[in-house]
Amino acid sequence: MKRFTKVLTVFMSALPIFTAKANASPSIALETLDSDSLKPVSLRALNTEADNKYAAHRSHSSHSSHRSHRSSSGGGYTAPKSAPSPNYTPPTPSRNQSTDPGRSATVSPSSSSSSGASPTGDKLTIQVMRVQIALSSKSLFFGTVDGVLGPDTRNAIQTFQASKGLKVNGRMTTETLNALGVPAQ
Amino acid sequence: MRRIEVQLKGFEFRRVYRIVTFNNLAAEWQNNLYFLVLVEDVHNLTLLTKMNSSGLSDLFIVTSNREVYSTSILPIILLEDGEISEHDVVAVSPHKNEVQVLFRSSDLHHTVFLTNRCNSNCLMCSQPPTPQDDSWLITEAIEVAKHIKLSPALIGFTGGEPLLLGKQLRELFNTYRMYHPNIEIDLLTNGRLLSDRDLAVKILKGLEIKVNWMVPLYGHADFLHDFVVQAPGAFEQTLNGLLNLQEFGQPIQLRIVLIEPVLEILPKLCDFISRNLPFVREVALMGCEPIGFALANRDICEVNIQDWSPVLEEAALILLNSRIEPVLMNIPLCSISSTLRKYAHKSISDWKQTYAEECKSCIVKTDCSGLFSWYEKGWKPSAISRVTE
Repeated sequence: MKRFTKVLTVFMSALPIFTAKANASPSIALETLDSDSLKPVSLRALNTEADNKYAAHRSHSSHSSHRSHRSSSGGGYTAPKSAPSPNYTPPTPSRNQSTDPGRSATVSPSSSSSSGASPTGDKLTIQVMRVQIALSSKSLFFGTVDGVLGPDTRNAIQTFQASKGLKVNGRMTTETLNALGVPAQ
Repeated sequence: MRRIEVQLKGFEFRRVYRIVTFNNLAAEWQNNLYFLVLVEDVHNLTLLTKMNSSGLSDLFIVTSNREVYSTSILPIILLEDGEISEHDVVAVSPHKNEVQVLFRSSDLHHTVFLTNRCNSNCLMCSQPPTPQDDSWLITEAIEVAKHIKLSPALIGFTGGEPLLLGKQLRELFNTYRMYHPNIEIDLLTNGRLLSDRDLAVKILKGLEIKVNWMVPLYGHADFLHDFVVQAPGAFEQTLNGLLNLQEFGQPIQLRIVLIEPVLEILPKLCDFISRNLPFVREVALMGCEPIGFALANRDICEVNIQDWSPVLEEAALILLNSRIEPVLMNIPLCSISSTLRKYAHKSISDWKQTYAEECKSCIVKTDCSGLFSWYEKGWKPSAISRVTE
């Protein structure tokens, strides 16, 4: 209980203190803080397990419950929601006929100009492309950057995993993505 | 916006890009965005070229290294002077050998330019209008929305007159909300076209994004206002537009540029506002920007703000008594009395702002809006002197 109170007073020292009497002096004695009680909070990793939808070892159940992967220090940390993907397409107005390419006057956002991948496959494609770019930048991958997790890509991932002391399985595990610096999609 | 002269090769069309470092390309890659990759050594250039021939199409490079520039077979820009930051959103104009920085995260103010057409002709217009169809600016505005990495809290829409976009303006609002759900928009407009009820409904009904409407008003009678904006009927239209905005619960800031004919009637104008438009949140009293039409109408536009101090104080008091907040903009702190200084804002956009020699040891410099960088071609709001108490 005493430890809990100490944490509370850290916050209260920054807040105006509300009492029934307008001019009453603060009735809570603020304890002095010693450096032992202010442990640094560990940095959050780039991806948590819950962010990584395409790690093959998990079943593809819903992600609404973010449980059991909280860091132990600090309180009440929750993984931030990923940004909403722009899937919304408003009704398109008629397009101006324009001679110059790329110069239409339409306002509504055009749908992504990527290959004909399925809506659920789009994000996976982008994630794989990011991994391929990262591995190419490290001169570990020399194949086609096409967003497809083929044998060349898997081999490159394995080489990378080995060099970093990670589990070598050629999959886009959360540790692998974090080590590469690629955000999961 | 900032314009940077560059050398370039391999670019055909004007396009919007996000600046990204070589090391962060993997983390940021998306196939609906265009990236200008910052490369400063030939090794990274080689890796990028390999990726390009391995299927990663649409790779564009920017460098300040001449060796990288001459070696590259990919489209590339050579930066000689001028600076570019990571995550800048830029437009490349190949035919002008120019890179324009459209958005920079570290700026205090962000502006998106929607059109250079206008239905008014204000005496002191800082952005003189042109009549041609420039709807490509709308497409570019959408591209900017897509390419911004970190959502700013606030972004300004300006022109020309944005309402000339008609219902496309509403679509633009919707698009910005989609890519930046928590963004707020400051919209500079004369409000005249909102007197048309159909357009007002199309733009305002069910509007979910927060838009602050910044509308100029220059007189408490039609001939006074219409004279300043050089458009007959403008006063009536603007008032009707303001009433329609109020009907849809939109937050309004009135803007008054402090030129001579306006300063003459400023207290009466503020009285009119407080009685007839009590719902406006703020009234901005703005120093005239010495550029554009203001230079042609110098006899009307150039004033010494210090001479008008009592008028400004009277106006501020009238507004405050009606719970309308006065905001002083584009006026350096030494030009106004100390009682009014707390209402002054740092309003001049980073890229066009500067200080004078006299500002060196001024104690309030960090709170001061400073001057427009072209004041030397025009004029200063009044004699500049450092504040010492």
